[in-house]
Amino acid sequence: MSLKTGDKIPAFKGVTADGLISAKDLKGSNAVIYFYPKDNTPGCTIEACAFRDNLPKFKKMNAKVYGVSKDDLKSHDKFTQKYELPFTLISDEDGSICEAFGTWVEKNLYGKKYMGIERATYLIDEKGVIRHIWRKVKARGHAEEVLDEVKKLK
Amino acid sequence: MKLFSTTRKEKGFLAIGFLIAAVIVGYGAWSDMHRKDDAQARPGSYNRIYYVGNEGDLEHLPDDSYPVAALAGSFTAKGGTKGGADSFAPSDIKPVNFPQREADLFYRLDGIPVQLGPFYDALDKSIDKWHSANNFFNTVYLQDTDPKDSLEDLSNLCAAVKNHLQHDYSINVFIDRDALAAQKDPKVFLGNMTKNVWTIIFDAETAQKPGETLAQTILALNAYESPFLVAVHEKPDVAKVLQAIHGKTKYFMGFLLMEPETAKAHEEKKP
Repeated sequence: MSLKTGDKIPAFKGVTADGLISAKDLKGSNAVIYFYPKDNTPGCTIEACAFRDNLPKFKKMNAKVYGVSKDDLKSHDKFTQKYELPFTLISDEDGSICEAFGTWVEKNLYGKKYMGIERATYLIDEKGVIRHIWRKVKARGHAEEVLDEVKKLK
Repeated sequence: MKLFSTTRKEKGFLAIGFLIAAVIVGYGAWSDMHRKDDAQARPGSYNRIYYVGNEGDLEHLPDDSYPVAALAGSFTAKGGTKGGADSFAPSDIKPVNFPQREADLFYRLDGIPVQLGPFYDALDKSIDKWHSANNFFNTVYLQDTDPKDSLEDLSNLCAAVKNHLQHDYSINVFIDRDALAAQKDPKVFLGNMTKNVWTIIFDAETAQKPGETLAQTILALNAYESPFLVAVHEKPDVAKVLQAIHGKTKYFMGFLLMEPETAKAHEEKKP
């Protein structure tokens, strides 16, 4: 069953450079969880850099930003260092977080179907309730549209 | 004038001849006006290149003869960190022979190489490997993923690589639409760049503006008047796109079909 606005954030566990992270760690502040296909690819870099550049504005709104992909921690570390990303990247190597959020989807290319990460973002409020969902996200300009929605939470 | 002095019978033949000629010319003109291009005549048909990012992609390739751009490897400038060393990591794709198609090589860079020597070495070695697998290829794809790099530096890199490879290979390169639009004269810039580059590639994921359809993006890119491909990460609604751009895109060369390389996606294919 796919998540919708008003649902509680699903339970999940992931790995970050600072250790394990779970759904309960997000409570107490607004959270932006964005799913992206792969570190160091053009769209993902543009999206990550835009969240980086807007992070002070997210912080003002008491919102934390988390990026999720299936890359390992080593890849996340390189990506974080290269682009000086000041927010947490979660490694979801087993795909369980993507499954829980419904971002592990069937894709169609070359006329064949297979599974892959859909670029999607979830805005979660301080109580752990999903307040907005973006699917099939376009990397450019996305951080700004998320910020606009975060402002409406106040 | 002999024409006016011929017999009544000869005039009749001439008249019939003129009539037939007029019918042929008229039909030609009519069919030109109502001619459908190949894409419309054969729905779903369009120029395409398949990007192969890892070994698992090979099994997805359809049974046709369109070219393949295989990821040869990724070049890391400065080791990806301050003070690090440049390095090249070959992809996991073993050079295989593609008997029915052109197999070109794709290089991803996370920045403009500081030193070109190691970059050339990596290029030459991987080109040799793919050649030894009896592949026919003539194009090298370059994709710099660092948005901080300037278009001028990228253009200079293309010129240097073209010079290094001499006339043996063409270069196709990804560029950023916004960076191009920020040039003083984008058309002139591209005109100069394409002296060393065969085809420019725009990635739809970054080139498409919010609210813009893919067809609108293609039409906007066409205005730069340089041959270009559009890289897409999911198969577009080809019929719809082609219908919208029909007759308006002199410079659009087709799609580069790219899976966004979700880690391990191919291990978990649906049956």
